[in-house]
Amino acid sequence: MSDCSNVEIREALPELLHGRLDAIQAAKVREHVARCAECAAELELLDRVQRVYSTAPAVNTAAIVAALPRPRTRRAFSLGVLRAAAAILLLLAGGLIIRAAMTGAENGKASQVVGISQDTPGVTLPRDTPVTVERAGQPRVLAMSLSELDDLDADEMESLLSALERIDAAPVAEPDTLMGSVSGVGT
Amino acid sequence: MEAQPDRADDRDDRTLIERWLGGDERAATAIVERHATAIARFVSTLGERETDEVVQDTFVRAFSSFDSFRGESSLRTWLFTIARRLVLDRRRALRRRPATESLEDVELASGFTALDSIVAVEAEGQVREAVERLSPTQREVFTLRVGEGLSYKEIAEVVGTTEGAARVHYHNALRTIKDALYV
Repeated sequence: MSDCSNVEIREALPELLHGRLDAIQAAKVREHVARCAECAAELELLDRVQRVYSTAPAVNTAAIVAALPRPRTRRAFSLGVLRAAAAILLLLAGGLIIRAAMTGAENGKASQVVGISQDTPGVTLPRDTPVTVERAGQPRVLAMSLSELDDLDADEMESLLSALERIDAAPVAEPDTLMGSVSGVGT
Repeated sequence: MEAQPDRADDRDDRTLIERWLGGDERAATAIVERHATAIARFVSTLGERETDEVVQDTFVRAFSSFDSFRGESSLRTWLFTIARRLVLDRRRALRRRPATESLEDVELASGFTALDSIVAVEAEGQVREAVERLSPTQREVFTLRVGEGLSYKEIAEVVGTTEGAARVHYHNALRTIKDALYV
């Protein structure tokens, strides 16, 4: 069996077989094959080989999937974004806590939930202000200054955000569940 | 004449990988179902008898490394590359093992052994015999080109050679098969 001298067409035969040519290219190759005995024979041979190869050993996909590792879920945000979010939430939480604490103090109730050490109460806290948040009857949740945010890794940051979100979720006008006083304020 | 890459398939693969990385375990099943048969077919042509094991190891290795998969080649090409490396590793391990079966026997045992259970018409039997006469590299290149429809560029990536060398191997293989079938 001799070879056709048109190398370009011969090179395209496997592509034609697998439908990887666009319509114009495919038409051009088919047109050539229709009038070229060598290329027609070669295409037939390739088709025979391809049919032999189209059969494969049975594969148990369920067993393969069962053996695969579990996906490691990606973090939705970068560490920088998490730090910024934590800083904002800390400030918000600070304001919330101070407000709740003052409400509690006005009501004459005991300080058992929150303590923020700061000489002057206010929403804007200096960068190195230590912030301490406690829930009644529970271990301390947070104790840190804003500058310490830089030292947290992603896991710690997410944990902090999670804790702050829980605090933030507590309604402001509910002194019985979130009440107390600001330690160092008015003492 | 340039073949049109299967861009839609590649996009689907990338979407499935992203879904899996995002925690969607069902995407794993879709990925395996899309490629397992082709990988098994390729592995069997390399003369590997434990096709199931190699296919499974291929996917385990791929899924363990999806974080580093950059999508510069298609997923299928990447899977072929992993499968081929695993087969070579197994052969090397076999060489180091005290032989109960000679390496020559292993080389002679063509990948088509895995297809023995299939009822073979005579014409198919002749094709198999012709392909078995090829050198291991020629067989790899030829089956990837004709059996899987890979381009020379993709074949070069899988086999670790150049596009030019892949082209030469393909034409030499085709000449050998024509001589075997049409003398």
